[in-house]
Amino acid sequence: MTKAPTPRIKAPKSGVRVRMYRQGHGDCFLLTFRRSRGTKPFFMLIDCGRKKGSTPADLKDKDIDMDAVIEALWTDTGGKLDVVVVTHEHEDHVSGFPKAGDDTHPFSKFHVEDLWLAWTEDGADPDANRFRELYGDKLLTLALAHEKLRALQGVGVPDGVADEIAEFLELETGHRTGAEVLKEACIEMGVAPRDISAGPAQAFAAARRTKIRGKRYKERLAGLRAMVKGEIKFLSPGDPPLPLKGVKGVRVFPFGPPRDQKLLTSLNPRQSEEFHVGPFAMGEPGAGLFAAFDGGEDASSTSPFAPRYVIRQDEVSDSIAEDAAPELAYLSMTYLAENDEDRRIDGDWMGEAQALALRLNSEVNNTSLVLAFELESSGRTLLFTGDAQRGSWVSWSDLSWDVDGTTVTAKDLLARCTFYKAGHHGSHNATLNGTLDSPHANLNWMALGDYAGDFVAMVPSNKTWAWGKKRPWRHPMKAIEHALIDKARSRVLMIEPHEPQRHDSHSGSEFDTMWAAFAKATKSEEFAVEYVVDDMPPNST
Amino acid sequence: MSTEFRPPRRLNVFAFDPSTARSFANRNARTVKITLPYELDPQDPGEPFFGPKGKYVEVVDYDPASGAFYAPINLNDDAVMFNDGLPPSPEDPQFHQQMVYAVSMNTVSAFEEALGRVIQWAPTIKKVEKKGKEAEWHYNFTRRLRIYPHALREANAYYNPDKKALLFGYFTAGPESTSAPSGTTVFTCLSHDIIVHETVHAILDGLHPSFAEDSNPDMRALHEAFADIIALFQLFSFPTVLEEQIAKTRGDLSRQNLLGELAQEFGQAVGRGCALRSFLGETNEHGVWKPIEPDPTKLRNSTAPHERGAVLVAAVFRAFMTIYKTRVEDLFRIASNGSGVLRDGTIDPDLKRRLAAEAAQCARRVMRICIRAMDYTPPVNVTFGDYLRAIITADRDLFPEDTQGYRAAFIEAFASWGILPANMPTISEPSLRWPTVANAEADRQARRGISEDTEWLDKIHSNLGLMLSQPRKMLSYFSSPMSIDGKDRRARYQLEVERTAEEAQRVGQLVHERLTRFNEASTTMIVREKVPARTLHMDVNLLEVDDSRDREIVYHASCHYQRLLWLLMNSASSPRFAELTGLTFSPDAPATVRRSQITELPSVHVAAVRIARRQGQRGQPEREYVIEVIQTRRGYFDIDRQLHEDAQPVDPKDSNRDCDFKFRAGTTFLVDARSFKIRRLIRTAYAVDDPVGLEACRAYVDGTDAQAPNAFYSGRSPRSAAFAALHHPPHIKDGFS
Repeated sequence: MTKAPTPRIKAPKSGVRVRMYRQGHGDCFLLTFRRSRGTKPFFMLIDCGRKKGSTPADLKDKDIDMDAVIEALWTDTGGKLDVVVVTHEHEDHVSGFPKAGDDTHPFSKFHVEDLWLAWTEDGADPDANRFRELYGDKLLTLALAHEKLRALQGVGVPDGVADEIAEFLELETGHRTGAEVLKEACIEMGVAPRDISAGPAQAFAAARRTKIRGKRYKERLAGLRAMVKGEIKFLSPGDPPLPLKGVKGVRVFPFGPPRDQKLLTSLNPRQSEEFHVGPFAMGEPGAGLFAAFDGGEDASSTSPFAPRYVIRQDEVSDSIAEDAAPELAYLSMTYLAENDEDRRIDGDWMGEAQALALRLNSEVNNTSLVLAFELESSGRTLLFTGDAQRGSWVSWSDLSWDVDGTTVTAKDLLARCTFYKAGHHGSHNATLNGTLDSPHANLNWMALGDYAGDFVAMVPSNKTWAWGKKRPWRHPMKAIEHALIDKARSRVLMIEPHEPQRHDSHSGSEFDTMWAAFAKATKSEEFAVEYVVDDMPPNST
Repeated sequence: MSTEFRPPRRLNVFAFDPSTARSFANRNARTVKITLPYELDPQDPGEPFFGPKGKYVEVVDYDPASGAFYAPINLNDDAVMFNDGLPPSPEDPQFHQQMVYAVSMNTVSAFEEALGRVIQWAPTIKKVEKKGKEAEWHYNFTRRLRIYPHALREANAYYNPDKKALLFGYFTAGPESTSAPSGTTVFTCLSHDIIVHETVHAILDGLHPSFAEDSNPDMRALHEAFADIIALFQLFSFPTVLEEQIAKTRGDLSRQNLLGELAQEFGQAVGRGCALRSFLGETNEHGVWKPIEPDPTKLRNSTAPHERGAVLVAAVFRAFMTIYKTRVEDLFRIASNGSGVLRDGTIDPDLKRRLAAEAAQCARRVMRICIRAMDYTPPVNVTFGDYLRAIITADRDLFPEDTQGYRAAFIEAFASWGILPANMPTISEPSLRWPTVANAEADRQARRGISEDTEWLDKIHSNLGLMLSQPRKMLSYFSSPMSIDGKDRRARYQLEVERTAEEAQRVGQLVHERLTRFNEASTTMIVREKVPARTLHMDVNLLEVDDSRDREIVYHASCHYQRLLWLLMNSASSPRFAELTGLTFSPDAPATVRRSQITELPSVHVAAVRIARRQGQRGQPEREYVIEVIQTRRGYFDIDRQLHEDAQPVDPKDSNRDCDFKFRAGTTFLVDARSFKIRRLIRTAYAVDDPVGLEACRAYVDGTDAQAPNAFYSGRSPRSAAFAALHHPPHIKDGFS
């Protein structure tokens, strides 16, 4: 291990220094706190990843890639991280961590003291295992759909669907094809090699046959877990507030992921097992795919009609014998007619794979570890939601803690929230809308009263890249961006564009003091955008 | 069997769907026989009729999720033919094929009756790449709509405009299903409602391909509501179903009955009620079904297509109810010794049949009014208000006297649901009628403060007459243009002329084949001369050659006139004409208005030239031509970008440049088939260069674009999926949108 240099980043006088790295479209946040003793700052890293190919243009021009950003993190921290938090296991949050045994990876040389994960990663938690099992089966379904769509080579397939699903597979697993995902799952589950090489449908069937389920994720975080020198903590909402070792005046409240399966997934608890098709509730996107795939290698056994009606598709070919039955000739001459290829529908039924991909993505987003940091002197809080979506947000209103004999609710903490890390890069459903009276947490529960003037938001989005995609990703969504700009009075920081932008509605001289203070607390550097939340009581400066 | 005898084809189908058929209470109306006239889809009874693949539709039963095909039914098989088709049963896929064929063809039949012409599917568009040249888009005749009864394994069914195909899904009923038992399979292709609904999407897309565009809050809603209105009234054409429901409601059809509940099995199996008919009635807290009183604010507060569509369905149904009630008042009085109040107990069977007959007739008339109105709408960017005006005008042109109060009922019903054209100072039958050309011209002159004689219009009418009755002469006049300079532009122009001629020759060829089809078999004379192509270019009104029953001939004749009219409008369009019709030909129009690559002036797209035949009040045949012209402008969400692009120098090659949305405007002309005079002008609310229209379109498209139903993508769907996404359940909303 390389000897750790002195950290470049100093602890803030009070409060917390939040650095959002510019590795691309994804999350990598460094939180720096002052220790009560000694000069060495306390470093907490929240996530480290990005979507492949999303490096900001200015860094790309200088040939700066992910590794260089991790190097910058090394210089900034001196290589020692007191806590690493992984909110959830999506590519854009974990791609910067090394695989198990990869000693050449730039992150491998870090010293990781503690690792905080959500309860959903706990292998000793039966609910978590159940969730991962369902997730694993859904992922296999998506992977096989992708392979089947690819195999059709564009005939009778809605345009672009296979490519879009590839993107989601990559977000979930780091692999871009269903075959790779199936293969990896099979290896994890100990499927015999000959079943893996027999083809995707066989691999799917073999993986389904194994009794060991729900091993997913292990692979992706195995490297990071192996690096931990201290302890691995699994956090649940409502757990007592956590201290930071050696730091005074900071409490960390876990908000999510919710314990309620219904909120985590789309599973309806009122539905008993018999109304499920494998991991899917009936009628849920993917249920039809799974029903067709789970029939084994011969899909025709899943037909809703009695076997006497079924003509297996390989019996109908484009070169039909002269003496063939007229029914077969009809099917061949209509469906397989050469000039009517555009009208085929081989893949349309798998269009729901796209809905499944989106659903799966949301379900994993909802497993995000959500943390609220309370700075005790000022009462200010910071909210880091990972990619938590609606299912998580609506669960927070039930949370309360007993702090030194006083009951503190999530609503209380949010009312003092002056720093918000926007969920899921500012997407739909990852920042909820509502009013103070709404039954669930929303943007308007944040920064109230004395704290109203201090609200700042960071949106970890390379907006230029996301909106410039062939089929744009709405990250951030316009309505959310506008709501944040409005609430934060232009104090919204993004990965790209990374210079703070003062909007017309906040350009009046009455905002000058506010903007000057913000500029003072903000740094916009090549590798990171930084903002310091101080711990002075509001309106005291 | 003698081919002289041309029996209608009778086929058994479920009246509603298998679940409703299972219910004991509905035992008398579980199945119905659909009767298709022989002429609609003539098939030699001596030959097998597999598929069914007829003149309009082809059923192909491929189930890709199961990797299986199902053998096609042979409708001419003796066992099928002599039993009115296979008996309704969900377990036999061949019955499924029979049902989708019968119901879709019955829908086609209803449209052809109302429109007085053959219907067309939207043309098949193919991109043809040529080496070293720009890719060309070829528009081809779509002979048959394809129907896949088992294409999907999900709770969905839709029309795919790219494939010209209906895709039906099947799924397993969930625990919340109140119709099909949980765990059993629900087939959307066995729901009468769903089949009609999807077929209507396809027919309307053939009539107005631009209606699939989502450019204002009403476009998608109109498609949905229209499809649903037809599905609703098609049920009224089955006497057994109707009599059953009349008996149940004791003649009061505004009470809860099966007719008002769309796609029962489907809706109840996925655990939610019937979306589009939700404003007909609702079950109150005591579990009693009550009709919903119209609410004029509902439309203003609704944005989702299904919700807006439901308002339109409710309005049309209310009009129907008003008419029906008025027409049966006397029957009730006769049956009750003048009191109008029936005695308790079962309704008298004679009265039941009479009421059913009245209801059927009202329903047929209301449905025809709704269908015919589709010829009377602006060609693009239509609103519900436009549709009301279309209904009133279409009916008035056919039946000048509103003796039965149909139009009054429509106006009352639409107004009570808040559906009225925007910016209309008074609402009355005359004001709702689209303007005659004389009125439009008078208004134009008055607006300009001038008074001139309208001789110039006569010239336009003469041109139209010449074009329609002597198309070949007209084309030869255009083939040597005076004013086109530049080699490239001249070449393009020549290409247009050639294509126009090709379409006419295609008509000639098809007519020729038709006329000589007996030659080979004839014993008296053998005529096998090759006919030179140019002699096949006939100089007669091509829209009226043959008996206009051959869809392919009609298609090419329409294409020919579309091209010919395009040439005519490009050669002679006066500012006066532009002003009158709301079109623009001005070189000063903003640069974002699409330009012609030949004239470099704002281009026009002639979307349709078709004939409409109707039978008037006295049974007299009425004919007129419907001509649709559309103009397009590139729109940008960013106002500064729009201003920048508007001010760019005009470059006709820009027509396909990147833009955020397309703003379209246009005019429908109704032309008298005898005098070739324009009778009425039906303009979109805004012209293509009108900044107000552009802004309205921008606001709407920007709004729907920003609405993301998921965490990644835009809320807009491409044309190929225009009808697919709508049928998915709505999303929970407390996010930002």
